[in-house]
Amino acid sequence: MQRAIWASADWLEEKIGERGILAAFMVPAIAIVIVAQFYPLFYSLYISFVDWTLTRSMEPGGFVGFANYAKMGTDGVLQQTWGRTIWFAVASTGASTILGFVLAYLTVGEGRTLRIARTILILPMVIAPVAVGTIWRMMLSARVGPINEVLRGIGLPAPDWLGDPTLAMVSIVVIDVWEWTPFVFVIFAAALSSLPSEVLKAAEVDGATSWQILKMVILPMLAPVGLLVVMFRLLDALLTLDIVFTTTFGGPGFATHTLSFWIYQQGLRYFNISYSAAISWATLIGCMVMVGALLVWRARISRWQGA
Amino acid sequence: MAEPAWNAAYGNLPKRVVVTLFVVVALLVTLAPFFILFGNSLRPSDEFMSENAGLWPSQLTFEYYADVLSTNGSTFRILLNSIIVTTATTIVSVTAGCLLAYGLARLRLPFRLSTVIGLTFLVVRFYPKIAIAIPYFVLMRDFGLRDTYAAVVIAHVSMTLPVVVWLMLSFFEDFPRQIEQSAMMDGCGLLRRFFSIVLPLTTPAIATAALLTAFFSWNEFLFASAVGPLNAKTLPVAISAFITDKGTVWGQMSAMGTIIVLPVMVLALIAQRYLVRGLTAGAVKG
Amino acid sequence: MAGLVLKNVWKKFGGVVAVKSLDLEIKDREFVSFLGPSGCGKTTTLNMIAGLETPTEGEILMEGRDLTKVPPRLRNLAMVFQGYALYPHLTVADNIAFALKVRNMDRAEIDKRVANAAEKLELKEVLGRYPRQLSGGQRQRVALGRAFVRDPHVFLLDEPLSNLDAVLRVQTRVELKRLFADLDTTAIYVTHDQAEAMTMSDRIAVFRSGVLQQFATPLDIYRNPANRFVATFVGSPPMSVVEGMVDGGGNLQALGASIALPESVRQSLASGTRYDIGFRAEDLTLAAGGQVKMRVDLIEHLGALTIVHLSSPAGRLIAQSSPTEAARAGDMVSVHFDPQMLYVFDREGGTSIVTPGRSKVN
Repeated sequence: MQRAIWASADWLEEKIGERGILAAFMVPAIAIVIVAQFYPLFYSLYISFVDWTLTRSMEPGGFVGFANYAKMGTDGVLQQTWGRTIWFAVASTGASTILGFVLAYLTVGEGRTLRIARTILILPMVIAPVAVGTIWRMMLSARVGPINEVLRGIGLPAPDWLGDPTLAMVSIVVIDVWEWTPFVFVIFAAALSSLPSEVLKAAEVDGATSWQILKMVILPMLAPVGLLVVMFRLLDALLTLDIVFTTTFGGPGFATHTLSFWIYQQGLRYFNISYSAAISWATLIGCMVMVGALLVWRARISRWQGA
Repeated sequence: MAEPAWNAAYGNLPKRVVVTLFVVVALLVTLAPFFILFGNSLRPSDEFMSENAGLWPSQLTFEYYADVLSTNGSTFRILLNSIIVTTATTIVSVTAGCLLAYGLARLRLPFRLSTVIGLTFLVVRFYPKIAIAIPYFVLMRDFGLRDTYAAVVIAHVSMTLPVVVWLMLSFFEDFPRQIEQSAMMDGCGLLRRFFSIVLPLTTPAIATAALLTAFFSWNEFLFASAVGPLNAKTLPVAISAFITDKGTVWGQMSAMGTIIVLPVMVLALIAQRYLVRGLTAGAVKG
Repeated sequence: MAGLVLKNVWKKFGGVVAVKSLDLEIKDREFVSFLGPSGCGKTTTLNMIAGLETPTEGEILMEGRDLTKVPPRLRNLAMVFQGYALYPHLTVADNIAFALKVRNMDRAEIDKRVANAAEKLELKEVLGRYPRQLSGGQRQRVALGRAFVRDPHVFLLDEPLSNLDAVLRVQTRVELKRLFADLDTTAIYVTHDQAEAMTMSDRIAVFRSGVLQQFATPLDIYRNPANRFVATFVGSPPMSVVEGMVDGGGNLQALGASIALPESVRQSLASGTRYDIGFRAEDLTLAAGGQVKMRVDLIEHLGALTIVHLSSPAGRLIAQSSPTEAARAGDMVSVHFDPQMLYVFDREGGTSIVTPGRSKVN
């Protein structure tokens, strides 16, 4: 049986050659990605230029040029959401990057306890974002949540974390930081342990204190990785949806609307498909610009990297 | 082999105490929510009403789990759906991804083309998934695949392929050519080389890719809800349906949450080395 | 005045003893080599002197000061690592200046010293480049420069030449020797290459399996090795060792022949005892009237000299001969040597009993 399989494999190879087989290897994956990602992506670009509201018809309407994009200028909720999302992304990225690095720095080493600690610290990012949202919704519940219970127990005020407009967004930041600091941590931990130990020893012998080594050797050497981490975090934060969906569902009112959430609302709640597509594409362009800028910056500070 | 002296956990006592304290607090903050989740999944429903119920239930009840796991209950069906979708996604994604990665690694394409393919795969990460959810929905509708497992699996595969390819590509590129060359000398054709020699030697990388893919698919919410079978939801979709704040359904919610979370946690703890390697591949290499 | 003293230093890693009961006194401004095969403890000892490892037992003193617990940065030593350990993210100039910046030295002073070092090491053109853009030889010089600018009390060098190719290695060896002659500071040089140790050092410390075998001048080590290990480790081509015994008549029975011994040699040997006899290749000549007859196994022509591998039922020898040596593989030749140039070792422990350094009257 096995021989028959290899025989037919060889026959096939003879027909189309090694390069043919390799090309065939590449087809399934490329096909799936084109069909399931690129086609819908460009289709949504098309949608953003037509008039289509699902309540009115099941088919896209006529071409309307940039009307949908222009609408973004008059959408008050969008303006606020956009600013709020950026604030959220910066805050969450900043906090998680610093925390993640500090944790990685403090847990570097071979010891067994350290390794266990590092393993535990990874957990929040591997579990489902919807689960994260659900858990924190319970934890932050104003009346029966454990956090407020503890606060009341020690005599501190127990605010309505998810019900107060300002606090709600802060809570989302905290939850996001809890969920994604492990990501930063894992990357910095790996980067730290792959730093050439001879170079660090040389710094010691050269007379540097731990603090000086951190400032003058470790941080500069980790800067390229750090920028990459910041880029991924910013991106993920700007596009956050799952957490908002399961904790506050955008509320109270519009207080915790993020970009993705507003896009979702426009598309699947108000059925303004074309407007939703327009915002999506504008967001995409914005993200690409940011990614481009960060990658250029990174290239500039990694001139010393290479061999 | 001494710990490097710049290691913060080294050195004088006050420094070590502060460092240990910090790490312990971080660990507690990380674990506390899980603790609460597990506790709530075992808490009798009347305890949810009171304001001072205590952090851990005073009595344990297994009713929510019984409900979820009873084979004729609707929640069991949901669990099954998640398993089906995740398994299918992992198999398809890892297979297609390995093939593509190997093709890219061995087929000496003009430099431009392979970079383009590589980059475009990465781009998939950079836009709001919601943007393509709707067109995807329309597409599936046109294909008659609306509300099917296939629609969700295809979506999941398309979203995990970039990671699989990224991981396996660097692995295949670093794979010692000499082993393949000696197999070639021994008369092995490409297909035979790939399946009998290269693949068995890259099982750790494949395991990592499978792990990451499985996690993603198991946890995924948006597409599962947008295009999945309406009467056959996956766990994340089902849990998002609990939108009340009243605490009345927290028991079931927590049990379901625990089921979503626990397998992933256990696997992550066991396969932690692979996981870390997968997550940092490429990022650290720069 | 003793520069550096190690007293009964031990280093254990778990159950493994890397350095055993080491006592060493290095004089001020001496150039000392730590020589030995891999795993002999030389690098571990260097690391302990640097402060990168702490001795399990024992003390390290510099000019009387106990350094054993002092961290590396307060020891005023400079170290050149085997892999150079340059700061990849800094330019050559910043690499050299690093140790000075760390001490908050005045900017002008730093620039002056860096320029000085760059001048001496021919690095002026590459001051603005990054390590990854440099050749191996250049990187090594930057590593040296980094050590020089600090004007340290002691220089530590960990196999600095082993990453260079053969030609560069010999050139750099000479340059290094010149540099250190100018500098006139204490230096400790770790290497597994006996030629480097021999040519560069004032004294050599030979290590084996964590134990110091001998600490003496190069010539002393060559002519008066403490044991069989030191004798065979130093010298190229390596020393040949065969079994031998002194008979009742005071003659050496070895290589199937009876060899007359001078009084200076015979007086230290007991008749009836078996010994290990060592011959250095350059002390053996292929000439008529020699003490033993042997068969030529292999000839190696090196251009400047010829290495002749000889064998007999009673043992093998390696001899060094002139470039015009006519013997060919398979020939039977007569081999001659001066019995005052014999090395005799104890068969059990390998300690040397007779060496040319001791037995030669002049």
